[in-house]
Amino acid sequence: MSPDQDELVSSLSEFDRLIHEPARLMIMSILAAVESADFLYLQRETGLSKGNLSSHLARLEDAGYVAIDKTYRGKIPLTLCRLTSNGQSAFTEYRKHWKAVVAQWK
Amino acid sequence: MNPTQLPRKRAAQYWYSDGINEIAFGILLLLLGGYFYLDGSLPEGHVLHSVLGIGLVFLLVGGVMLLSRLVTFAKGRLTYPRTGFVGYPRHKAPVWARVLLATMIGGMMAFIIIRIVLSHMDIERWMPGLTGLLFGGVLFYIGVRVATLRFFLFSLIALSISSALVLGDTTGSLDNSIFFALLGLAVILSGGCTLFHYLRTNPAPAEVSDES
Repeated sequence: MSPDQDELVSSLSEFDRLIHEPARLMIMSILAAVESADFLYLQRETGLSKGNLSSHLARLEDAGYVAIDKTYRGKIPLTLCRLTSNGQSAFTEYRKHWKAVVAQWK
Repeated sequence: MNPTQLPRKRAAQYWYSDGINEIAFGILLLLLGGYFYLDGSLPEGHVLHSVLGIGLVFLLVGGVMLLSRLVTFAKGRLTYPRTGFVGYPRHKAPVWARVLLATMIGGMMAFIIIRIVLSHMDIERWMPGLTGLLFGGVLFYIGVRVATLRFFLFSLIALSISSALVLGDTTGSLDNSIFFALLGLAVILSGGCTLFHYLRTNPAPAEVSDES
């Protein structure tokens, strides 16, 4: 393997794995584009089941990337999600890394 | 397109997906049409022209504030329970600064209109053309930003109406009222159809939690 290929392979392993998982990447991308979004919007945009979305959100919340506020709209419970400042920086880093890897491939 | 940019575009499109905004915008255009009809109906040099000039500022600022509240209310009742809530990044400028800016712009517009009316310039004939260019440009920009075909159509409609009014040399002082009324009706009609389609394709949810 050439030194360039070595570098490329090692750079692939440096991705933030918590974000790199496709479902969580979708969630992070959506939340990075808005100020906040509720559970219903996230579910419709990602196409994930309620349970699946809940578990991915819980992982992102545990990592401090996403803040979840449970409130009410009238009598209906409303789950509002938003990226924390940690989440925003992590996602920005992820995008930078991703662009660098794609540039290396070219 | 960078795949991480797609959610941004979809979130922007989501704001227009229910047609509520268009209906509100159309109502504002109809109000402007009514204003210009009143202004054009008064005889030249009438004292009420000055009063109407100031009234335009109140109509613009008050209309935008009232209609934005109505949009928020309607979306809260119709859109968010069906397809979810999205909070958009807020403007950094405080509300008072934005209202002040809108008032200044409205005031400048009113001043220009009064100047034109008082000076009897032939610019009156070209006003619908300038208005059409302005609105056509803004609607075209929105169309590009959210990649939604109907905004390009609005832009085309705005330019067509204004061209017809300028080239047709029609009723003169009532040109602006015709422009705003026709564009307003077109936008309301489109918004109504969009809302109808949205409500049909997204039925009201049962009274349950948003997650189980």
